Amino acid sequence: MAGNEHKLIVSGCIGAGKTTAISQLSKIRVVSTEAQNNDIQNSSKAQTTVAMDYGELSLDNGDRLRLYGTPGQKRFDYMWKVMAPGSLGVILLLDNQRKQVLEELQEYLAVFQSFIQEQRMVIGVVRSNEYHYPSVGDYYAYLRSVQLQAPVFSIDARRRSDIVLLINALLSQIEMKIKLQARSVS
Amino acid sequence: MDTNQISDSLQLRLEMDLKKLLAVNDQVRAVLLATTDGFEVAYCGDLGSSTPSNISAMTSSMLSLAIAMVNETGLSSCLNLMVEGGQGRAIIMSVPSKNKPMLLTVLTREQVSLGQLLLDAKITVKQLSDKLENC
Repeated sequence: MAGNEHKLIVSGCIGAGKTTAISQLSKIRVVSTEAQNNDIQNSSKAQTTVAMDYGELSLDNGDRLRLYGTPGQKRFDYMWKVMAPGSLGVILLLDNQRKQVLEELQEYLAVFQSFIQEQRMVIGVVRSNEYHYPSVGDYYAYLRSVQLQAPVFSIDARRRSDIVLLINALLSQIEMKIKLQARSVS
Repeated sequence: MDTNQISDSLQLRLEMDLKKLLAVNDQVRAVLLATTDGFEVAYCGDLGSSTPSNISAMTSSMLSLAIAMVNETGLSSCLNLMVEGGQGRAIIMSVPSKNKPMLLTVLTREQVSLGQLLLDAKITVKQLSDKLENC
């Protein structure tokens, strides 16, 4: 094996673009587990992920990222817990079109609490151009109110460069933390 | 879930098929029908400490993972999945239907005869499938 392997979780609301994001990045054919969506009131998507998506991405230094996408709905929250252990970090995608998006954020923060506390989470907000509330500033304010911090970006999950931005932000944050820890040890 | 998709009378008829399976095989502990995306449609019997909604969601995840694996390995199609526990088995089977494909989960006790179980469950799948196809 040429480099190290890292596991990244892509999680977040139904319809926020998790499967699309992984498809944009993966260098292998994405393994997906989609089923016919019967919850039309919650999302108009024809298909929904019910177990996981899986893709892979090689970094310039030879390391390999294994990308695991979770289902978005709360009823699949056991998959979030199953997939989280051993992960380097979490990319959380939120959909501003959803009225309860801040409540949903709260649920994800509870499950991925250790990741955000260890600064191993970034948040991407989709459809913020059409749905202005909550703004990126509102997300930061909410995170501050619960004594947490994470970078928040307004993105389009269909745009590869936006997903790369999220990954770079996450990896930079993790790298900086490792360097700071090494400095404090020496 | 959009409950308009399944009428009350259809739900009752589906439930009858589940009850028949429970009655015909005394080693069957519980039977549950769910949509492919993990919503409970009907169930009968003893699910232990779990809930129909949890089992429905897990059933959906597990069979979809099995299907993904079958696709990866070129095994053509995944018709059912069996989990062997210390005190019984769980079988998850696809219930084919053009418009309303569903999943049947059968939980059994320890002494179940696998051949008999598969036969009984396949008969139930056929009955459910016919009803879903003709609704």
